[in-house]
Amino acid sequence: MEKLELIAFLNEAFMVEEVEVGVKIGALIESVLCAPIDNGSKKEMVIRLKTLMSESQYHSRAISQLIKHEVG
Amino acid sequence: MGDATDALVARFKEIRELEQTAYDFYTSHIDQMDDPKMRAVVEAIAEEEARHVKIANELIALAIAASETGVSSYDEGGSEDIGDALRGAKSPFALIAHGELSSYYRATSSIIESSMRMGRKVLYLSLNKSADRIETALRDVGTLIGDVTFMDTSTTKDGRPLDTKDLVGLSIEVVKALEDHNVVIVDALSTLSIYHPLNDIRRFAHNLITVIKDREADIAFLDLEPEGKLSQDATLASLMDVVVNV
Repeated sequence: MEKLELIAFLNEAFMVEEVEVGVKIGALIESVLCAPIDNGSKKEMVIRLKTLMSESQYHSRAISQLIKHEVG
Repeated sequence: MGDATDALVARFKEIRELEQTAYDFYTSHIDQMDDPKMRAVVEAIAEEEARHVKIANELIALAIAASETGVSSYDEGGSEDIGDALRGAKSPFALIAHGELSSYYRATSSIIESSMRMGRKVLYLSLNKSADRIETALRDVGTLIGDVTFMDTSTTKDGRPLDTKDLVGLSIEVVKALEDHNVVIVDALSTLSIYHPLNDIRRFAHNLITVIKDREADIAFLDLEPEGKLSQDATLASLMDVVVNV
């Protein structure tokens, strides 16, 4: 893969992780907390959503490091 | 489903799609990477995206369970694994799975997928929900449905509704629907306990097991009242080859 192609790929991956997944999941946690469902279900859903969010944040940090490495 | 849980299911499906797209995106680029360190990082991320798809499936199941049953969770662990129990069972066999409503989708998925792995064709009889609803819900939680035939009390082959109060008629209709299927799942035996005393349910189970096994097919009963009379009954348990608590 050419360097420019690689940077474009990493940039797209960063946007997916940071904006699409991170932002959407953050908003979803709010919706779950406000939903008229029992607290046990809310808790189970929020645990999973927080796992998705923290791992997506970890992905975006890892990709950000790769971008820095390539650009720098 | 209620509006709120409908909306949650739709949004969890969006998340599942995003995670699947991310997985496809990463895996489609891995082979083109020359740097082994970068490749290792991207492979690790792709593996986590695959796990995220499973988590999204669990979220969908949770939302469905919250709306349909009012129970608090999609139980992902159980005291026994149906897949393990089925691997050790020799066909034809009769199985009963006792479990909470929260373990319903896990237990059902496990029976269907284990049967399909053994190359068996499944007939799913729902006594308490519509066949379409069950099929959709199972697909939503990621169950591999394959060519499972779903049947409920209003979708018999000849169009006559099944009467859960008529156990003899019910047995006859199940056997008629069996045709080339090798596994029958009855969802759920506990539904019949609304209308029938324990001894009638024992008799129904015994007759059905005898006829189904005689046709070299397996039968699996679900019982969604783990503390109820069916799970405590030694006679009913003695009719089964496999008893699991999920």
